[in-house]
Amino acid sequence: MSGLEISGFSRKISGKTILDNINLIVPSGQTCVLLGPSGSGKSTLLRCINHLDRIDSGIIRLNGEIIGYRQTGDKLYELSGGEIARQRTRIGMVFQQYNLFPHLSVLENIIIAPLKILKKKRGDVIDQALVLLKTVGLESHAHALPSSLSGGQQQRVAIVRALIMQPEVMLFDEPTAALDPELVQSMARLLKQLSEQAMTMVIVTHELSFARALQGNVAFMENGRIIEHGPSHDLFTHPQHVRTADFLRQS
Amino acid sequence: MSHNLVIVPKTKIAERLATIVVAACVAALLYSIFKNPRFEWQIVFANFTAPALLKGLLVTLELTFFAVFFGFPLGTVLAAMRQADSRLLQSVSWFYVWVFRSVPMLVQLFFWFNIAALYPRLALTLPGLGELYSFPTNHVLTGFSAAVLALVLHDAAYTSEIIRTGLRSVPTGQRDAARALGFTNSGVMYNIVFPQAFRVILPAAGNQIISTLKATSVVSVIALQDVLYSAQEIYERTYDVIPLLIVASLWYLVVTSLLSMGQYWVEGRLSRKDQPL
Ligand SMILES: Nc1ncnc2c1ncn2[C@@H]1O[C@H](COP(=O)(O)OP(=O)(O)OP(=O)(O)O)[C@@H](O)[C@H]1O
Ligand SMILES: [Mg+2]
Repeated sequence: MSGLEISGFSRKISGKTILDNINLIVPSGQTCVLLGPSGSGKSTLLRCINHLDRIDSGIIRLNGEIIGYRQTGDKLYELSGGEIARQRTRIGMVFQQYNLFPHLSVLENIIIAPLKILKKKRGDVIDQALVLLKTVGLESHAHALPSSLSGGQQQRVAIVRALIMQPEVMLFDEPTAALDPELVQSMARLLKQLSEQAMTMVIVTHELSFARALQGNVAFMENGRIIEHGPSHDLFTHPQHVRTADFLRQS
Repeated sequence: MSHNLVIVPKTKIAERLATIVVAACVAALLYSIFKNPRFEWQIVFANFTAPALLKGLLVTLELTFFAVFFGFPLGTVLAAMRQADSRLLQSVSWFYVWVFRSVPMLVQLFFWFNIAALYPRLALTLPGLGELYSFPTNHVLTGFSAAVLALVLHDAAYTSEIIRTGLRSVPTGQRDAARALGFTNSGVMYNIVFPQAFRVILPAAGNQIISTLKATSVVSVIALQDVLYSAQEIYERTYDVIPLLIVASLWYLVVTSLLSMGQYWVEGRLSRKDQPL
């Protein structure tokens, strides 16, 4: 099937279970919001999806292809560094701290991966980058250094840097963590635009208003487990699980 | 009428006093240097470009070059071993740095110079084929190669620490972001980590090269004819000890200044690259 499929996914760190039998399906073109308290394993789950963190069991498929491993018989053999790197070009990730490269200008941050990894033509990539920068209102900052931008602007550069790779899925870790309320709404609008362009997305947040604004499906996580999963409207109005209800009430 | 009041900065009495004292000291020092005939400046100038000294200078420069040329790659390997997952690689690297940073350069030099006492012959032996080739250790480890070996091994220990500090100055988030974009490990290093680590590594590496240059002077104790030993050879004949030590010092000053200028130039170019395109 097309989209992102996660099944039976577990991860332990020094004996402590961080992710516990995660099952999640994000059909192609849809948005999944991962909601949950701090320490519930949301960031770890995102990092496992593109194999930045290893898993102990389970399997992830992106548009049918297993991520990070090759199946031979009943065994999964980890792919080589180069093969995993290739797969990661198909998965866009935006980090909570943005992690822009401070030694490169905004434009260079955006074009470095398509130039060096996808070996695209410099002129084409720059044109594409400027178009994308314009859609997030930053075309005049193309030659600035990341350190001269505000947090919200850096965030949008990080999104453009991931989008220019034309990924099959986008992963966002707490995209609103450092934004003031006004910017939260504009970030929600930007992500909804992406969703209207049929981008498959997994968005981690613990901000309810933001999650509501995004629509799509919501998965509620606690202690490394997905304890409730459903359409945004249902989950917010009729939470099935008592912990979900508590979380919705407190926030 | 506040707008035509005159502003008088406060007097920095301590700084003024210090300036007067230091000026007096400098004047006294200069006076003694140029009036004391025993400095024998004419001998200094006469020997500054003496052929033996220039040959010695060349040896000093060669030693520095070889120490840096082999020491930096070896240091890089040691730094990489320290970052490896294998406990053995980590421990060997740690042990190496511990030993070679702890034992003074002079002791290491004597050690390598006398290694023949420990291993009288060096042999190239392949399993199944037996000894292919062997030669007396003293033929390979002459004064010069013993000195190069000591300097390289010593330099590598310091260099590995410099490189390790540089690599650690790049936050892990940078590596994560680069990997998430699809860079391979070497791509992450080449495009993202090294350019950032370089800013930390470069000034320290510059200092390291300068201290290697000065460290080469210890080779005079094994009668290797570097610039210091050449000066000593001359003053043992002529008894012009001080003038010839001044000559040697002036040459160290000249080379160090040239190295510093090179360092500033490279750093300047790097910081220009900091500016947006
Ligand atoms: N490298 C690690 N070593 C040990 N424990 C870790 C490591 N990484 C994550 N953890 C633990 O895993 C759990 C989940 O962490 P994770 O960062 O995924 O949570 P989160 O849901 O993203 O929380 P937050 O909302 O605070 O970002 C935490 O208890 C954390 O302490
Ligand atoms: Mg997190």
